[in-house]
Amino acid sequence: MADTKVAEMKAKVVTEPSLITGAVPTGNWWEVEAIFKPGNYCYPAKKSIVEYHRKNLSGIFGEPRDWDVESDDWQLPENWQEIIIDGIKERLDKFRSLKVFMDCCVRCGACADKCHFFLGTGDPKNMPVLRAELLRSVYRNNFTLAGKILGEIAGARPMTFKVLKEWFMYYYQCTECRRCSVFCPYGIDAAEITMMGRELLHLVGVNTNWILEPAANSNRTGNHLGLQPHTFKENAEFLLDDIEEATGVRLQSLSFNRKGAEHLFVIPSADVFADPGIFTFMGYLLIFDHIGLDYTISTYASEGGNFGLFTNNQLMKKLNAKIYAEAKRLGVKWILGGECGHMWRVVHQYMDTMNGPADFLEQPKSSITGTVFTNAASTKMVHINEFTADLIYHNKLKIDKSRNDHRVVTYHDSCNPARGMGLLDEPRYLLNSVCNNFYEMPENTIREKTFCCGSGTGLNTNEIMDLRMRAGLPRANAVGYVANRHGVNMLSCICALDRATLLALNQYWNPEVEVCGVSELVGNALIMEGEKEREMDLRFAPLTGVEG
Amino acid sequence: MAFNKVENQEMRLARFLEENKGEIQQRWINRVLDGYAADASAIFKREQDRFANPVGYSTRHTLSAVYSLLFDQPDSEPNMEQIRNELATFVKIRAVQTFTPASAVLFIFDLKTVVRQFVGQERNLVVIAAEWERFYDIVDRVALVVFDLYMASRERLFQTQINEIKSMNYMHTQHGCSASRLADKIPGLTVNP
Repeated sequence: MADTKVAEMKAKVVTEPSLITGAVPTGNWWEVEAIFKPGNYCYPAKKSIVEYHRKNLSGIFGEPRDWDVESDDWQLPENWQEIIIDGIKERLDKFRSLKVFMDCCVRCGACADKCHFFLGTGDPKNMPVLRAELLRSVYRNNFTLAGKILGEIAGARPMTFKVLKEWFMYYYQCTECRRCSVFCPYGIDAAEITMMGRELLHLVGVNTNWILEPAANSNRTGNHLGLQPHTFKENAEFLLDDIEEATGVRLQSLSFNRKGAEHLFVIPSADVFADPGIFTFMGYLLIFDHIGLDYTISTYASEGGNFGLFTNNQLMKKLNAKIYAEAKRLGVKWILGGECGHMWRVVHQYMDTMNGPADFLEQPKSSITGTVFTNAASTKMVHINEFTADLIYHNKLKIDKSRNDHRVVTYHDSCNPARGMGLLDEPRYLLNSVCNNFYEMPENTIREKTFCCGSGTGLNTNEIMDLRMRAGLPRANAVGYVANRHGVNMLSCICALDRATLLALNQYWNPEVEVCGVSELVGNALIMEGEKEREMDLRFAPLTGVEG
Repeated sequence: MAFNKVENQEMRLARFLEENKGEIQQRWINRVLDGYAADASAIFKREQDRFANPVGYSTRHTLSAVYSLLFDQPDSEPNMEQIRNELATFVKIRAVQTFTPASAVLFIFDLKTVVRQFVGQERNLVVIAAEWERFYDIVDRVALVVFDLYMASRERLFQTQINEIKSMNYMHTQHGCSASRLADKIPGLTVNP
């Protein structure tokens, strides 16, 4: 009667209180099916986009085709299960971290209530532990002895279409923000599990357009918007007119693709044309002009944001390499990077393994203050906030803090610079140096515990606006708190994705709060040589005392 | 003294709602949170920190506040404007979660069920029809406020979506920029469509 025993054990598993929450489950979690409805999934990639990627990197993007997410026929290749299992095997052999993460979770539940997707949706499969189980259960089934022998009892299950649907649903309800990892006693990086989940989905051609099209654009023209060099240059130069109108100063230092410049400056491309990133860009230029920095911008490495990170490590490597190829071609000493999120995650965590060390560049040293940035010894790339904080620390910038008096500011730690590279204090140092009204959000929503905007990793597409709003609830909730308590009207951040998505998030949750980059506030406070009497900020909003 | 007797009877439910406030609020909150999956509902009920648990906190805080505004002062008319302000964020949350419109606003009707069941357990309490009518009427009036707030939230969501579609960001990423479209028309030049 071995079967009876199995049945008893199964019943026990599903009727006893969950170790994670103490709740009595009503059924096995994997019996709940993922159902796709308009608004809860991203549109699949266009056939032509997948064809383009396949031409450049074969074997990792599956069969180009038109397919419907809501249908039960995703037109998968006949041997799709085999492709997935082989894909898992390849990755287990290649990435030791994946093998460790698959084995070492004890389901303590520390991560369960830390994910913004879980907190906003109340969907148990958005608990990081369960999201990882989606992949781990298949791993057990095919790669562990216990799973092979005991099957379901050991938490193993075969790779079925139902499982594939779950993967597509929940690995695209994770922004790889890594908040859960902060609380994991074993240091499991759930973002890397999601990365692997997405890589495996790509192998069988299950993908989203909002990620693959920008990634194709980045590969083709250097930026995710597909802007060609002349357009990129014109957009950026257009902003010089705006700076002149606001400050009375015509900046002279902006140049493109200039060989022999001391620095290559890499930005998220949205900063040259999308509101409110353009004001951040104006801030960068004002800082550089103020100190007479010798820099240039490449129209070919014109995107910091690495959309490859959301697809496959090979594409991530390729897009990251563009920055270094341009640095080499232009012969710069070292690289400065703008307020970008994923660029820094890739540079800080993966660049050195993929494309480093960048020995052809010099150890970054500020030509203004003499500070040596030893933290960037291998990548040779310094964050603009770190660079600017050093300038202010050495009294190299003339600042009038009162120019930001019409702003009551709080700061959102963008996930990747905060958790991905530990950039926590420099932006705060800048804000305290250039603003009189700066208020922190509550302690458990900032710094390394920061809540994601809810739309990172290519989820900032508007067909899933409902989902984005609920995923961003924990962030918006903390913003709303300081808005009510201190009258905060400006949410600053250091990520282009944040600047775009927090805008939408605030329009829904906190319409009285605007969004800006930290460098915008720095630029606004700078006293430029030859400037006119300032009446407006960089957005042409009247300064305090000169309204009306 | 027939009039006084009726008045006393009429006050019974009101007094009951006031005296059993804590217990009824708790049952109402639990019932609403039970609308989430068991594992989620357990966490939403347990975690007290408002930032670590925005859904649980908002549910607890809002339903308690609305209950107080409705039943703390049985002699005066409830202030619907205050109730609307209390409900705004909570309804906004439910408007973007995976509820149908009906289940998103069901929470207010849950109050009727909770009170009816609780009164049913009290053998000594006889509530006359007029008082039930008054109670149901008040809850229905709040329900109308909830409908308004729900629709306002959905409209705000759609407006947010429209704003994003209208922004250049969306145009350039979803449809290719004008420069790339021009390049597409040049024979022999292969670019990404």
